[in-house]
Amino acid sequence: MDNTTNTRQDNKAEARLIMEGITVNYGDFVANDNVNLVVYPGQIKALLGENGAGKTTLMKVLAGLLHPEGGRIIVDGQEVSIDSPQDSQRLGIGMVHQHFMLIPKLTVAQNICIGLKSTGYPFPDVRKVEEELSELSEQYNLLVDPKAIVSTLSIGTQQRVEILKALYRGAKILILDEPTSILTPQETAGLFDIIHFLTKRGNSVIFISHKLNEVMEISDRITVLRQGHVTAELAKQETTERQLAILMVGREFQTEKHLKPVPENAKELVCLDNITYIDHRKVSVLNGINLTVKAGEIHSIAGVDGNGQVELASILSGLLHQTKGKFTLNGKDLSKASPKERLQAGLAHIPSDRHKYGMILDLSMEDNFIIEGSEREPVSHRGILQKDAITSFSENLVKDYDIRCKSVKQKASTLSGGNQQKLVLARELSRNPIFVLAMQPAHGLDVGATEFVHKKLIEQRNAGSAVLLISTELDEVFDLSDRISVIYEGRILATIKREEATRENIGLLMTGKTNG
Amino acid sequence: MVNDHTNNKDSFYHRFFDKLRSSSEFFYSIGAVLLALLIGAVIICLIGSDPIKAYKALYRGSFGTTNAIAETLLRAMPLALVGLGATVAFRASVFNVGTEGQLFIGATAAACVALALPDLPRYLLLPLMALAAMGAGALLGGLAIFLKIKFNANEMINTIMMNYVVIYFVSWLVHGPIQQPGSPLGQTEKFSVNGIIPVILKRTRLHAGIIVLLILVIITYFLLEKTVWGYQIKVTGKNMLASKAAGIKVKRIFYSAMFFSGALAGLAGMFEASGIQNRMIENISSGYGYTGIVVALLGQLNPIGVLLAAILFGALQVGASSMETMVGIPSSAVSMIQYLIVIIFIGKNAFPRLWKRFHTSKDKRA
Amino acid sequence: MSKKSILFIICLVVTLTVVAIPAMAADDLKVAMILSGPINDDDFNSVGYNGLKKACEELGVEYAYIESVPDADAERIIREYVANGYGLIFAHSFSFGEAASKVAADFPEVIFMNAGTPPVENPNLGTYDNPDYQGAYLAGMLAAGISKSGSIGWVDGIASPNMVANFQSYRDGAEEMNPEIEVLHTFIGSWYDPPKAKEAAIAQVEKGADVLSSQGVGVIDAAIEKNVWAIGAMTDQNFMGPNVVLTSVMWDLYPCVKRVVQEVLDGTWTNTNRSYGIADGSVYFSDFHGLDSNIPAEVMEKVNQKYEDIKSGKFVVPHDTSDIE
Repeated sequence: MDNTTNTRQDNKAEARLIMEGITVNYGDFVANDNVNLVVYPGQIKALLGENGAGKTTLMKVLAGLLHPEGGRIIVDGQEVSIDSPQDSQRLGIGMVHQHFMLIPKLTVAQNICIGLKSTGYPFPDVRKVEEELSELSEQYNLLVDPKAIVSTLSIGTQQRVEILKALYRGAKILILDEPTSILTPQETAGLFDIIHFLTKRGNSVIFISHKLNEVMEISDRITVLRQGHVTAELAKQETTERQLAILMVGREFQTEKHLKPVPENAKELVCLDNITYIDHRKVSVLNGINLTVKAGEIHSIAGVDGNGQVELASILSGLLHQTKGKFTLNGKDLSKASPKERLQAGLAHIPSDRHKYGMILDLSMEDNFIIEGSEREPVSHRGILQKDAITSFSENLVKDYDIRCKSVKQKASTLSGGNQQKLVLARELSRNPIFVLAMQPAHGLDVGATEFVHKKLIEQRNAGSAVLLISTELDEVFDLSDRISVIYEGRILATIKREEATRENIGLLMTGKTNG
Repeated sequence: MVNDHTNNKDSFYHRFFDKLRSSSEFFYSIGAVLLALLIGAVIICLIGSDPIKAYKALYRGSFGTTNAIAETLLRAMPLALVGLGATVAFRASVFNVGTEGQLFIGATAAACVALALPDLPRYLLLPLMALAAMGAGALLGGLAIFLKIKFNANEMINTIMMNYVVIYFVSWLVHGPIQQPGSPLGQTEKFSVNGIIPVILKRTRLHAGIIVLLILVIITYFLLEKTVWGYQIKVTGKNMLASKAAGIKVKRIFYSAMFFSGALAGLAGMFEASGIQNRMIENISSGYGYTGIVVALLGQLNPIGVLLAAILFGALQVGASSMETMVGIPSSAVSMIQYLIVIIFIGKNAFPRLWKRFHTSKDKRA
Repeated sequence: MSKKSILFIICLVVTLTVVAIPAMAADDLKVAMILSGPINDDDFNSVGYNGLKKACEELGVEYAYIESVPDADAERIIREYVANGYGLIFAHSFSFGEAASKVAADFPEVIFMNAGTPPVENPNLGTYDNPDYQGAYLAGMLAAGISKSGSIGWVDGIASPNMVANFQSYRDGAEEMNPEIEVLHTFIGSWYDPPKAKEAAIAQVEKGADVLSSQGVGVIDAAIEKNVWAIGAMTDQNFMGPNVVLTSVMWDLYPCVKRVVQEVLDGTWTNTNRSYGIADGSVYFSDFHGLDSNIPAEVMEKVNQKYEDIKSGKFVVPHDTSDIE
């Protein structure tokens, strides 16, 4: 494929940023292979690709966090070497990470002063900064109060704080890494307004995403990356979502799902009875959750982040103890059971934060596969690990779940996000659970991996397991569920059958609005 | 679609590179030692002595005679034992800094057994002393975990504090209830012959503890690398939450790791009391408990690495006094070299970055 | 992993076999001394070092020393000297006795001398002590003779037998000069702890003592601060307090070291205890640095007379190591 397709080659001299032939290797793994990227002033450039395609690597090069083995970078017509984040900042490159780099207890202005000697060192002139920030915020229509404490701000606002921070530091090229993954639909719309506003004033935006609809909506031009290569560089008008999807994953994928309805008399495998949790600040986080999941059913809990979902999942997996209430699985009371007893009773847990709860990045895939079963035969025999058994067990899982890796001895951290999630799924589902607790199982995954995760959950359902899916993504909820419950401020506001639910009524319930 | 699953060729290469990487780690350790010796040489020059002469004396004092080798190994023994224990605790992310106190209480417990049952035959008395020492050390370690779990008291702080409590308590014991009658010194009566670990190399002090140590190195290696317990320690240490979620009993792991660590530190105390001093004395350890922790880190939390690091530190410490007697260089210069090794080693990740920064700043100036 | 362990084993075997050629004594005698403190402590360790240096230089014998050796390290260091061919080793601290005895049992061809009480078993281990209790008797007389308050003090480290004997003599001497005299004493429980020694000395002055016998660093400081007399010990300590250190009870190890080395060279050495005191010129008062004008003539005369009596054997200072009542 021709990597240098560029319709505006003639006026490259006007480009704000040119990356040419960027090559980055991690050991013998090529993360970026001769990648080209051109961004003009006032342009919105989408960088599209699956997780692990090399988008983040490319941006790390720009941010000065990685030094490429080959290639050159030209900013405003000058060839530059970016050796540190400071260099990157000086060149007018600003990055808004997927996870915000803000200190919750400080104000917006204080956060922005951190690490910026120009605001006064060692004691920054916060008042002056506040004034300048209000001005800047107004100018770009960001609606940020510089005096607000960060922890009191919504996620969307915090993201705008990050944008403001980049602008204050003189960013002319703004990189947004998966900016919509944590936003509500309304917040996403607001972000897009801001992006347009920015580009109208001559700033360039690099929009990193794997969401096709958003890319089609917002960008001017699209660069598609796949396995470290640029597979296409196109104007939005020249392409379709379907074509982009193929360029991105290298094959067509199917979205149709055939679901047999759950029989009315199916056994209620999971019963939550009045689960209540009051945290150490005496805040009532969960208020009497009542819920059942039947055998062969996917029951979704929809809701905006922070309405008690994390606590509910922790309580069900045994990491947190409910203040009161009862949890039974297949007739067995597990209210006070240890995590181990829950696993033995047939629970599988796919946590939302897999790095924190689901796996150990620093260890090999083998070690990650046996974390729950290290005491069982044939993984171990009388307390001694059986290396050969572990290897063949791991290799089977790798095969069954199509995990892309060089060897089962490689560290989990070297896998892409999608493959990491497959690792967790492989381990959890291989135990033939009767209850699958999945929280945001496709969070941060690309189209292909998301599809895979969904397929596996449906397989579990069809095999007769009870699946409880906690998700903030309406698409996912509507694609998979048999029943949908909406959680708001620790309460289940309603439980609706999939056929009877509409996006409108679920969306309203998620914001706490019950009919009437 | 490219199928990049494992095949034999790939995994062979992968393993090969893995080996290479871990051995480069090993060579880095040697590099750190050499660099520290080089800096040490500069310091020795500044003092006004001849570094070659000094290092010759250092070598002669640590490996130059049978006696020197015996003394090096003797000094390595408590360092290695403490280091092995610390390795297990650190792998579980339990920061046991209480090894010094555990060593003291272990030595004292062994002494009490030796003094109470002097007539027991050696093959009974020595194991009994070892059990008492290990039990006392383990209990003291376990106490730290108990405080951590029950009262959320950081084990690093509470073990350090316990060191003081224990060392003063032991000092009181050897000046009071178990003091040698008629002696002005803080020491107990000499153990009976049966309570003394026999010497295995004639005309030196090298005692049979070295054999026990080598066996323990192998056992620790086996436990950590081949057993479910070792695996669960590793997993818990790397990610406690994920391990808990996966049904591993993390409290049990914390306790057992600390018991193990405390037991080995206690055994180190018994070796010092029985094998070297032949009695319990007030200053039974000159910081072996702390140096052992450093040895664990230098040995990269690997039992065999710990043994090598302990021998290195033992050699440096023993050789230092030779340097002092023969060339007149204060032994503190050697202490400096010792800790330079550690700093260079721990700071290894900073060096490539410093190097790069140095070069880029030079480029920019040019 | 296996690579590492193999490497280790190779290293160990190579060092053990190649280098482990015993370094046996040359024809010439080499003498070593192991000291528990710094050689410039103007106290016990200075005495040892000065005696070693003077004697060996005079006899043309090679010598070595190591200072500030903790008790726990003594045995290792003694063994190291043996391994390096030293034929005569002075373990210059009574706390090194056990270590010396253990090494002596392993190396019958090497001769050991320990500053301590006579051993029972080792034929190659002799002892020497510092009969400065003889000097202490004179110091006690002097102190009682110049005291105006009728109270004198003694500040010491650890109540070892030697120090107990010393104090008993000091008191006996004082009582001979003035039967009514009050003699205060403190053992601070450590050989070296200047702040504690000073504190104890000040406490004695506050109880009325106006002459202090200094057996540890810190006492002379207190004497300067409180402007009372001090009597030094071991070496001439006048320089520490030129206006308050009246004199010092000297102990000179030179005669002892010289004779021991000579005997070893001649092959006549036996493991007897050497107690070289006033009669051998090992114990005496240092120069008064002009402060003797403060001593009443009859006191000085009595002290001098006693010195002569001890030297001639007319008077034997009792050696009493029983507990101080």
